[in-house]
Amino acid sequence: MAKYKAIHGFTVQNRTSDPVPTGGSWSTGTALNDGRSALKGAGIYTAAIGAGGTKGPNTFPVTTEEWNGSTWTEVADLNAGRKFAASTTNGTTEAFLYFGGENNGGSGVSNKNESWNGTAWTEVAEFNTARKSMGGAGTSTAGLMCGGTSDPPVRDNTETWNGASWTEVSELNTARNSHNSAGTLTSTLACGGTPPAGLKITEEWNGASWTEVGDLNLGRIAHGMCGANAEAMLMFGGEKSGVNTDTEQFNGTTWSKVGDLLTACYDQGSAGTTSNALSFAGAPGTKTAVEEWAVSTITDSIVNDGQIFYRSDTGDMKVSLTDYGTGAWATGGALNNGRSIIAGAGIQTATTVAGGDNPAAAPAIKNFTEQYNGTSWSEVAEINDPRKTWGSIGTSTAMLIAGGQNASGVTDNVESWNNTSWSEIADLNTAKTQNYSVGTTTAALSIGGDTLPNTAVAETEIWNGTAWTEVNNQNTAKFARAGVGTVTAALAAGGQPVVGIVESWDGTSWSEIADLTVAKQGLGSSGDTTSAIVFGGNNPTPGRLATTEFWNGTAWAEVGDLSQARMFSAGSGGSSVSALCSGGESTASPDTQAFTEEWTVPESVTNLTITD
Amino acid sequence: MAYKYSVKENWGKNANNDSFIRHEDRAMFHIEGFPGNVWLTDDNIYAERWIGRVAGVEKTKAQAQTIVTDIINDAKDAWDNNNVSGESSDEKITRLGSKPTDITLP
Repeated sequence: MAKYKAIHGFTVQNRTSDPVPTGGSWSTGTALNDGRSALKGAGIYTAAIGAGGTKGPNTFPVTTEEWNGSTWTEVADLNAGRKFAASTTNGTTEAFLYFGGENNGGSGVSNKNESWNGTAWTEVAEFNTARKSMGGAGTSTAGLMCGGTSDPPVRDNTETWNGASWTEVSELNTARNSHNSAGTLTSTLACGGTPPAGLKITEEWNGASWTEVGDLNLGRIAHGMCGANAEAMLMFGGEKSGVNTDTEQFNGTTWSKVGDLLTACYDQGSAGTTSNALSFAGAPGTKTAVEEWAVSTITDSIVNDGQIFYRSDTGDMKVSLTDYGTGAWATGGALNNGRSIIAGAGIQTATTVAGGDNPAAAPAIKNFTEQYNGTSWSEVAEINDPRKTWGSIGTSTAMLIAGGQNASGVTDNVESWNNTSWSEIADLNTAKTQNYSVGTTTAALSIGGDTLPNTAVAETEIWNGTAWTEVNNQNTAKFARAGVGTVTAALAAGGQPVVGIVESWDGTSWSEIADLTVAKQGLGSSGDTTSAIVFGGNNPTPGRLATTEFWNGTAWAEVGDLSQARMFSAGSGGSSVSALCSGGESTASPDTQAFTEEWTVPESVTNLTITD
Repeated sequence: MAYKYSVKENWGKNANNDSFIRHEDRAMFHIEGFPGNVWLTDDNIYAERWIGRVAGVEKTKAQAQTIVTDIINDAKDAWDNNNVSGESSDEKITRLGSKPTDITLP
């Protein structure tokens, strides 16, 4: 379809509303007055209430705010500030319960139950098992709470409220806390939580017992949640390997991903239904921000990335575009064997690394192969010729390593990985090490290298799936460069002797383009010739680098640093928005690293106005 | 700029898929790792929460510097004592990398 549009063009559509993501979309709403997290709420899209929460350690506000569809107004305070309480999620601005939680000052967990009558809070009958971080549901005359923690233990207890007292009823199948729930006394859904952090398990309450139903797509803790009953539920945000924007909708059987929150958030307040909902306040920090959910309807048009359209009601030309946020590195699973000068290929959640060097653990030159699944590394079949080798050819399941340095010196040996074992294939024309290689198992490029000792070469070799052929040299002889791209379009950046020079390969020859902002060698890389990142590396002064540089097709700019400076790590990921940095050599050479870091740039699709 | 210093072994990503340093941490405070599992962070509430979450042990700058210096000195000694008969200086650097250099914490 993209090719068809590129050839034939497309009609600029005339619209009176923006297209929305499939399922629905979030938009910014009016902020609360009092920023906080871990508060609780209830109500509907145009009439909601939020109470309690936390503003930081030992600061638990008693503030209550009401939303009338256009503004938030502070109303009467709670009697006792608590965080991680629960509420009757299907309550109203006239009738609402706020119960349990952690006492102000962190002095234990509470079994207090406060009732809101539209004007003031009154303490009513306490529940049986004091706890915090539980789920709530129902109304001020027919309520429910489930799970939680009494610091410890984690609870599976369920209690129901009849307007006068609490009664213990059937337990959850899975004890949990920091989950969320919503619904009615006879139809509630509870999902997510911990332990272990990020449960996917969803349970449905039918008024008598809990039954497991379809799992969440993304298990998480501390998410927002709202819905009329267990047959129609919306959940959003929360934490799982970082704060997320993911929104999921439950149809009574399964959860489906729908439009993301605009801003990642957890421990927020929530109110509404699957059609119209609010996500308000929350963490990180103590947000006042509000987002409003509106479901896409049959008459809505769905966002089509790259589509230009005309808003006839406002006179704006607009385009649906993917917005990229600020990228950052987070720690990933540690390698089983720390080492540097390793080859790696794949994506952030499925990478294979091979070979490497660790002078501190004899023999220094390694034959290890490890595979990453996004969480942890597993050792798989070893390479035949142990070596320190450099580059990124192929994928996690089909990759090559070309050249390197084995126990005898530089090697021209090339091995191919089929996701089960390594086999030797046709050799390079020239034995070398620290040549960076890019491409696929049937079309690869070997860039520069070192024929030892410290003898940089400018050679380029191309692999056609059968044999290596020498083609035009780089302009500058270097080894330990970073590389991205393919046999027809590649970049080679930095290198030893240390430079910031970057060269571009067009399938035939190399030409110099914009330099890196900092000269370096032994840097990792991910991406392609139009959008790439390089990270880490070494410069004689100040030494190991943590910096990441982003290439936008024209120039380099520094973006978020690695948490640990290093050189000779494996770079994989294949893009500038999602990458993996594995192993390497840290500050105190020869301090080889087992640690990995994961680079992620958050993205979302929005409709932007075209201006001058 | 005021910094906090703490010590905690980097667990990477644990069985619950929870990162030692999460993406959102990077948005809230500067963090930088040094030898000896020494972590330098901004001195703000978010860094304080991170130290609490990972159960890091706070150190003074002087204590943190001592940990880093001891590690570097050990690495220097190991580098000096790791010799192969007849090996040139260039060959030793090719084999082991450059000799570790001192680090002064910001």
